[in-house]
Amino acid sequence: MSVRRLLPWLVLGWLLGCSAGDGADDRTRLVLWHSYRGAELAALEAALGRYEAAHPEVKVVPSGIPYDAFPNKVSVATPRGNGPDLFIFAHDRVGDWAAAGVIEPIGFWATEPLLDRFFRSTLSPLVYRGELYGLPLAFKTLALYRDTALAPDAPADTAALIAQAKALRAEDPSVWGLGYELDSLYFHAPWLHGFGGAVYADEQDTLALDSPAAIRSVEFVRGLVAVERIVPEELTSALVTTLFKQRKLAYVVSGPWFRAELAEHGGWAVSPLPTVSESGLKAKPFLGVEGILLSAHSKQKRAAFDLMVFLSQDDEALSRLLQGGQLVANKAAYQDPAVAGDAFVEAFRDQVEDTVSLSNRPHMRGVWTPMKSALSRGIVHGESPADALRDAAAVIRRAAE
Amino acid sequence: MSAHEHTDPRPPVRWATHALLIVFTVGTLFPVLWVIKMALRPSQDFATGLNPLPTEFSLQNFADIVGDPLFGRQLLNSTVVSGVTTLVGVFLACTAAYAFSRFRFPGRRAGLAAFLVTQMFPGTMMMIPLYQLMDWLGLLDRMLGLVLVYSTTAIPFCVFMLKGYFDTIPKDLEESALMDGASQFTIFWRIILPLSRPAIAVTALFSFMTAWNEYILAATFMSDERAYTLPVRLQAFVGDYTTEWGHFAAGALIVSAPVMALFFALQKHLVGGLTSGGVKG
Amino acid sequence: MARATRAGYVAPLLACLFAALLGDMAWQQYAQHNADRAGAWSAQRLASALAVSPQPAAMTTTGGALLRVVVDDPAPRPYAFLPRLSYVAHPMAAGQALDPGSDGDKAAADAWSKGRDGAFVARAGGQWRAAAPAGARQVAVADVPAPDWARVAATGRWRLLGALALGLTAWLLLLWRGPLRPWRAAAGAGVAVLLAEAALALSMYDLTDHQAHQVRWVLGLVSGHGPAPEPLLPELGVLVLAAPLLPLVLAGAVGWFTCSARSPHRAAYAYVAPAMAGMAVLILAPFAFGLLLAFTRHDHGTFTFVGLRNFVQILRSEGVGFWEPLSFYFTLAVTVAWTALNVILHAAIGLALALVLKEPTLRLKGVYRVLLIVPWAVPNYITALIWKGMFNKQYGLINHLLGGLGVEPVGWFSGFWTAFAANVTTNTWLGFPFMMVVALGALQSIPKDLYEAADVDGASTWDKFREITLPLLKPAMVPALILGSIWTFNMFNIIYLVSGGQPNNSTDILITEAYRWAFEQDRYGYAAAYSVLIFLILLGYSALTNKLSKGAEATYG
Repeated sequence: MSVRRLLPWLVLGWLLGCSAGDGADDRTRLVLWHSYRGAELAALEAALGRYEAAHPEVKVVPSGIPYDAFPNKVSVATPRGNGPDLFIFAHDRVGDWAAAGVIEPIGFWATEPLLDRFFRSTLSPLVYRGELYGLPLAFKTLALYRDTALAPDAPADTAALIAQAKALRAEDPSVWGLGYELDSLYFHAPWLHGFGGAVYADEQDTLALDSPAAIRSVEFVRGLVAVERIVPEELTSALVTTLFKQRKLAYVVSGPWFRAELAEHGGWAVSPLPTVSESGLKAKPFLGVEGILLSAHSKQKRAAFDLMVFLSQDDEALSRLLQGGQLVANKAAYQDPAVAGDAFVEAFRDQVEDTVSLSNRPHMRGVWTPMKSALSRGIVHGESPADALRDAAAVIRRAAE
Repeated sequence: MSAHEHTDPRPPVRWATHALLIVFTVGTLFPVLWVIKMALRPSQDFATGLNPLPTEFSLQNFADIVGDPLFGRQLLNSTVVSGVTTLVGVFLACTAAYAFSRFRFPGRRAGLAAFLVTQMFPGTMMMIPLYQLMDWLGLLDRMLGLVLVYSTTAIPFCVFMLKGYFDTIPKDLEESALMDGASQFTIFWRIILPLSRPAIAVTALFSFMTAWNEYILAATFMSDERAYTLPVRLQAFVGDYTTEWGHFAAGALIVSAPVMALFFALQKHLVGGLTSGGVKG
Repeated sequence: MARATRAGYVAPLLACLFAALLGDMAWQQYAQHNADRAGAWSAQRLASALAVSPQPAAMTTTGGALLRVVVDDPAPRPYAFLPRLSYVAHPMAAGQALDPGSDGDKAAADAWSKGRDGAFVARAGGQWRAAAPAGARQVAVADVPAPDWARVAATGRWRLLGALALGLTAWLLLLWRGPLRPWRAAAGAGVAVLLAEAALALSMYDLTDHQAHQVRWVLGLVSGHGPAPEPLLPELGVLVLAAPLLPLVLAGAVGWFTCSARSPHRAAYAYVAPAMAGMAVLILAPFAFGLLLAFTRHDHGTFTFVGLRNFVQILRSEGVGFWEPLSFYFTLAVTVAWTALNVILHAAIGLALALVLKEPTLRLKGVYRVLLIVPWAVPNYITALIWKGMFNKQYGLINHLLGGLGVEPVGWFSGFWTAFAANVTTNTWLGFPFMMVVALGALQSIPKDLYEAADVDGASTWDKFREITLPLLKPAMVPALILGSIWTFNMFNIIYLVSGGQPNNSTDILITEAYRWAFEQDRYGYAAAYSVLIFLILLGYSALTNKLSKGAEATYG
């Protein structure tokens, strides 16, 4: 038969072929979804290799899922039995998934000594309605980056930061004092909490985004933009990186991922966010936890839980910290001599004590977009912060009905 | 834009046309220069600023993508899915469009309207039921599932495009062929299709693009990295707080190259059509 | 034709009967299933057998009961969310030992621990082994009144018959006028079955939520695993949902075999059928689902029927003024402007380029063509963000160029019109290559000798364009324009990426609103209602263009 005759059959075979065919294998098969890339992925794969070596009866099948398709894919696939046994994702969907019966509470298997491994603040984001739904692997939060040539010392409070920024601006008008995405609630949260505000006032989804404290926080940033003129108006994360690399930005509010973007760029340092001078409170950013979650539709929950425990061990956490550059949730990892001297890691470790965990309740998802409007109205367009926040809160409440 | 006659226009007109085209093309390509710049930079941040010209020349991003152990497989997946989608979509559209153009049958208007109507319901609401359907049909994680979905997505446009074109082909050609004893299918296959090369080229490109650049459905239906298509791989460079823009840009260029190659190959069919008198094709 | 007509009567009737049988089967299955469960529920008490003591105790039960365990909270513990139980109860074979930590054990423990703030329903049958948690001080037991499933089943049968009678009446009424054709009868039967099913679902008003929910679930009108539904036969709901299609398929098959083999219609159907079949399965089925969703409220994987509430809320634009951003009417106006501008610009630029680039004598035309489709070829996720960067107020290229002309920096995303212009510019750039390719193809359908004849008559370039090119381009271009406007109407990612709806959601279009409701607020029902409205608007639009323009021939001619 000629190749031309054969080709259609080959193509048909390819189209029908089940890509997951691994041949006969009587090992327990655990499917793990993640969206890790680069060094983080390498660290995860190394850890899974170690687990398989220690447990020859288990085969772990990791699968990288694009981040933006991840949550909906989990919600759609898992209840139909096509989902993974375990998956690693940010904690902010825990409430959704718990309420929809997608993820399994693990409190039954978890013991106090196991949970004592982690920073207490990294556990609570994984709790929804009194049940624990996963083990924390890493956390993400914001801290203050500074250009050490422009700003040699970390400011203790916002007054010091503003004074220093104004001095720099007076010297060279092309230099800005502070930069971050003004219209994002994620980046505004440190000021919101620093003025004593919060997203929700209580456990009952009572919205507090139009509280006097929230209004004061928006007025404060409006002042930085319009009165003190130390913050540029329309910054995207891409522009923040560019300006910081060009040494046109003294301070940047950003997270651990910013280090990777700076790559070989030197002459910078990180410190915890300053105290808000007006209120005397620390500027507390949101805390996001990357947890490993157990599917409620897994056929081998016990075996999957063992893998969860293994991945959250102290020595595994340490290798994820060293190899993958993740800020892990285990306390012990930061005691290791290989880590202890790292000022970057220390800064975020210190910051984690002063954070507010991002709410995992389902309604939180509806907060971001209305707040983006409110922040851009109140901060960039100079409208009344009280009006902008009240409108946003009305929209959020209406949507949550 | 004059000169339908087959003589060269006068040089001034020619030069003015070229000048205009060059200005427009450069303007069009301008934003894409940033993509090239990002692809050629070793760093992964998004290029901003006023200069879109590359300042560094590193092939590291391309090497990273091509060097990925699954790259070959995913490229093959994309190629097979898009190729088969194009074949299936264009063939089914040709037959349907031919019937709509040449036959008068009960339900014809309703059928045509149905093709148009399918385009009106927003796709975002279709994803969950489509997933369920694929699950029942056992087509999750299988290329065939993507081919089916992409073909049906592409068919309505192809049917309308082809029907519009078929309508312009004079009927006396077929009548004389019928006189000579040709069957209906022979007429379709030997006369109509060869005469419609320009429209088929357009629909082929459209079908190919539908499958080649789609990633939302592919990312939902495929859970095994070996079953991914290239756009899914590309989208995996987008993270929660950061995106590997260097890799994304390099991947975007790799993904768009075959489209342009295909268009370059197809465009010779975009010339040379009909004359009103008879067949010369 | 007589045979075909007879088939037209018989086939839908058979299908109707079949659907009725199917529905009745579903009903019986459902009642039987619940009767089984009711038997379990009617057992007397678990508590008398279940001795609650600090030590594990074995016991045997045959029935079920509602058990409430109140636990004294011991000393405050560091992890309040860890369960307070040291032993668990679960069904097991006699003599079987507890297997701490197993999947089954955990399931039982979870069920038990739910009892902390509610109730734990013990399943019936088998032997139970149980122990009270440390600190248990009270066990309250309540009888569970078993629903009278026999009555539900009996009235259900009547409801079904009534609904079918209604459906058949509707079918007869539909056929009263006009000649009977197989497809007409089949469509009528489909509508009738659908009506019957809807009537049945609506007749559940007097059942409790739980019961009605299960019936609706069987009928495929709700989905999910909320408080009520126990998966019965997942395929059953689908079959019932598919029942209205059965008459169509049957009539089609009968018509196919009764039609004369030489009939030209038969050949036409053969050409159309493959494409139609694909559309029916992969587009119409999901579309039907989307339509149903619009009448529901989504709550964590469970859909509840709410009638027209979603539509009423949207159309009354509750919570916002009629002419404010976020109201349906404002967004609709923006959507219409967005669509019209984009399609006009796409078509004008695409056609102009195609006219230039079709010249056979133009050198390098191949290179120009390939370079000009680049915006279409490169994934638009990255190029849209590059455009957003170019519109940046302080560091964007566009303000820089305008600054060279002495214009003050424009805050593109601060005002509605500028943000809208930014969106339209980006989408024009992305969309003209497609129209250019379509126009290039369409221009080939114009016979060249027409131009030659016009040249002989001494027509000017403009005359030739107006008299020859435009009219002859119509058949191939009008469908592309209509489809292009439908796609642009539903084009969501450019607005999402470039302006993001700023300022204050005013540049959002209907589809981005729907998207936000679905994926940011988790209100799929509301988003589906938006989608249905979008669908209706587009349906009206295409009907209008059909009536108004002479392009009607091009589309349906």
